Amino acid sequence: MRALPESKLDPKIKFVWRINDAIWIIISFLICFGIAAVIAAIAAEEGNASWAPILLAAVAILFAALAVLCLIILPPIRYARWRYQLTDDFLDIAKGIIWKQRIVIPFIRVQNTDTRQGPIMRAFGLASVTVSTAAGEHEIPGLALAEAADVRDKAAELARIAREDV
Amino acid sequence: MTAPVQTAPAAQTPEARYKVHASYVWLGSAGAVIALLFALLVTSGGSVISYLASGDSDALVGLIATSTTLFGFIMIAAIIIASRFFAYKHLYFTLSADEFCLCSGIFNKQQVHVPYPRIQSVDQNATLLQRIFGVCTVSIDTAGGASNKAVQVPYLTKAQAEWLRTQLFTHKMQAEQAAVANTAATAPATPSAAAAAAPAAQTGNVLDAGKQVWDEVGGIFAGAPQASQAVSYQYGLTNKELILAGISNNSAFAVIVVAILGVLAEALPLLTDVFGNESAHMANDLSSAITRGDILNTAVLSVVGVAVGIMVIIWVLSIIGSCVNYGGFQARRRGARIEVEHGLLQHALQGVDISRVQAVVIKQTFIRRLMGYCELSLSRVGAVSGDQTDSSQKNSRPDTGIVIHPFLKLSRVNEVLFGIVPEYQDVPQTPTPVSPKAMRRGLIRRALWQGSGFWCAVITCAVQIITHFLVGLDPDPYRTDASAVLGITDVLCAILYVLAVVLLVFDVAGAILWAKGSSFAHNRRFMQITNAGLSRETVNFPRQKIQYGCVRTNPLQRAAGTATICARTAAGVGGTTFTLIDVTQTDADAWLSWLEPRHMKTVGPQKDPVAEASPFVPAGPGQTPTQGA
Repeated sequence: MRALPESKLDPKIKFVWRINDAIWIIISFLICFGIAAVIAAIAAEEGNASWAPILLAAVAILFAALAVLCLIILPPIRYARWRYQLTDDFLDIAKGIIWKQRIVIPFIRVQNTDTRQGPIMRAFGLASVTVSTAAGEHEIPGLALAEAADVRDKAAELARIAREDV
Repeated sequence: MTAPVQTAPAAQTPEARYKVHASYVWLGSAGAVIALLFALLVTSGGSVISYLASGDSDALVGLIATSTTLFGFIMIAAIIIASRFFAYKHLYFTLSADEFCLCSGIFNKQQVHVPYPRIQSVDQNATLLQRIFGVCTVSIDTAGGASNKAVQVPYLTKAQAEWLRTQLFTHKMQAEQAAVANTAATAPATPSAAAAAAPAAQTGNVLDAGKQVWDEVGGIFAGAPQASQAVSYQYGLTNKELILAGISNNSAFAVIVVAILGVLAEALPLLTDVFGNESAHMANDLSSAITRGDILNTAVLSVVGVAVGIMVIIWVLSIIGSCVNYGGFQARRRGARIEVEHGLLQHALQGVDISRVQAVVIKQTFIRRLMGYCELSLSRVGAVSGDQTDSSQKNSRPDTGIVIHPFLKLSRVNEVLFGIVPEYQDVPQTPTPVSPKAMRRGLIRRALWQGSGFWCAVITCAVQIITHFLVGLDPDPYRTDASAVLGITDVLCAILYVLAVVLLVFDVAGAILWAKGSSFAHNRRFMQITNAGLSRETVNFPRQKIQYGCVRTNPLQRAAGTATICARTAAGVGGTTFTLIDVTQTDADAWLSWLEPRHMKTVGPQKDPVAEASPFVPAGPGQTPTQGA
């Protein structure tokens, strides 16, 4: 078995994931709950609304379970499984909870690298590094700003030294 | 300024502007004008004829209408031709020291710059009409990812096109050798082609005569053939290969057969209705109807005969079409580039530099596999050929790359490969098979989760149960059509069950063959992935062309100690992943280690930095860039 890569993400990425997930869970919950409420209201008009509270409760429980899964259970596991390592010649990534992936990207194949930062990441002082090859790109999602810049520059430097086209 | 192409290529000044051939104006607008004429005839032709036929009462009106239409037509045609003319005036290309530049546009000027080292391949296409006049369209592909389009230079004469191609490749090679000289001090001396010294014995077929006629006649404006670099290896197709390729390459035929069978099935009850009226009982059952009388019998037989005849004719025509498409097929190695040309009527010439070849694919369809033949093709980075004026043949097979042999005997694969791409002569020969657990997992995956037969049976079963349930719900037990519906459903379901069993047998056979025949291998410079099954595909690609590698596992695979390996290359449009499912975990780990550059430097058998940096640098006689002048 190959040894796992050494570097881990910044621990604050867990909060970023939680906030991201919380946002879309709340939005979709409001939409689904709204639809269910409208259906229940129409049923109440017609008189037989005995199942309406059950429907609403079911939607609420479903989303509560989803929230527990995405906000409490998954982030620590995802954080623990997300590893990367920069060597002189290649980038090694290991990730995935159920479907595990192990990716090796030689730096001589890297076309460009950049750092990206959304509003949530900026609030936590994080950035993600994207490494693009001629056939797809990979993202290291949460690194401290200085580290991200360092990784980006290192990757770009190595890619420049061993310049080679597709 | 007309193109000074017929002079020696070396004599050109660096910034000379080359114009395309003047047939750009009239040949290009001819198509549009003819289409316009056709549209005019369709829309107003009927009314004009009715005016003429109605006698002299409305003669004046008819005359006015006709002359107005004619005037409009001439005006629009003139506008089309004039716009083509001005577009032609402003269309030219230049070949500067380090880039190719195509300038076009009357009001909105457009300049496309292509640096020579970025050129992927140079193709040359001609429709039948263009071919008669000896002109063609040159498309220059660059590796720009998914959004790029080939740069198209339309309406070049054949001499100009050949000259341009030679120029582009020469410039490209010079640029690359300069780059190599910068990084490595010594001249590269990779092992040269052993087979390159002796060109292969000429094979030919009946349609090559047609190609020779084309070559000799050339077309009206073709110009003298250009001297180019020496050809180190070339071959055509034999008669047998040509015809077999034609027969096995028409997928449209099955669709036609199904369509005709469908029409026949529709027509037969109609026939029995027409001819069965004279008998006392209506002909519900076809088999009894056929025995009913001689008239009916002959009628049905003649319909079936005509249908079969039509099918045979269409089949033969499609074979001839494929053969004509492959007619004049020739693949050759010229210096560092590979050229494939084919097409007796619509001519296409594809040229790709060896350093741009992403993978060599040996593909066997089921029929080819039974006969021991295969299709040989090269993958390259594909450009989006979404040009509106482009011929449809480019769009129809976007991902197959360049077919360098459509129908090759398996025993000759090595010989042809070493001749045309000698760089691939040390592909790995000792494949690692997939894990022993792969058989069981493959059977479950291919026969159940992805099994067409299994799902066919499941869906059929569901439909049958639902039908029975719905009919059973019917409160009126005396209705007679309920049992009829059930009977028809049961018969149909029985047919579908048989189909499902047949499909399942094929799935199982495919899964067993896959597990027995699939393998992967890697050596110092190359990797090979074979995915077997009813059909079989072997992909050879250099380690250098792997953009990144990935090993994936799911929980079941982890329990079985297997993993999926994916090698991502830039072949095709937007990249291609070559995948092999269920190799053993240790093999997958070894493969990932092989992919690490550092591993190659420390553990690799020989340290050869120059060859490592560019295994495709051409070497050997006849391949220096100055050869063409």
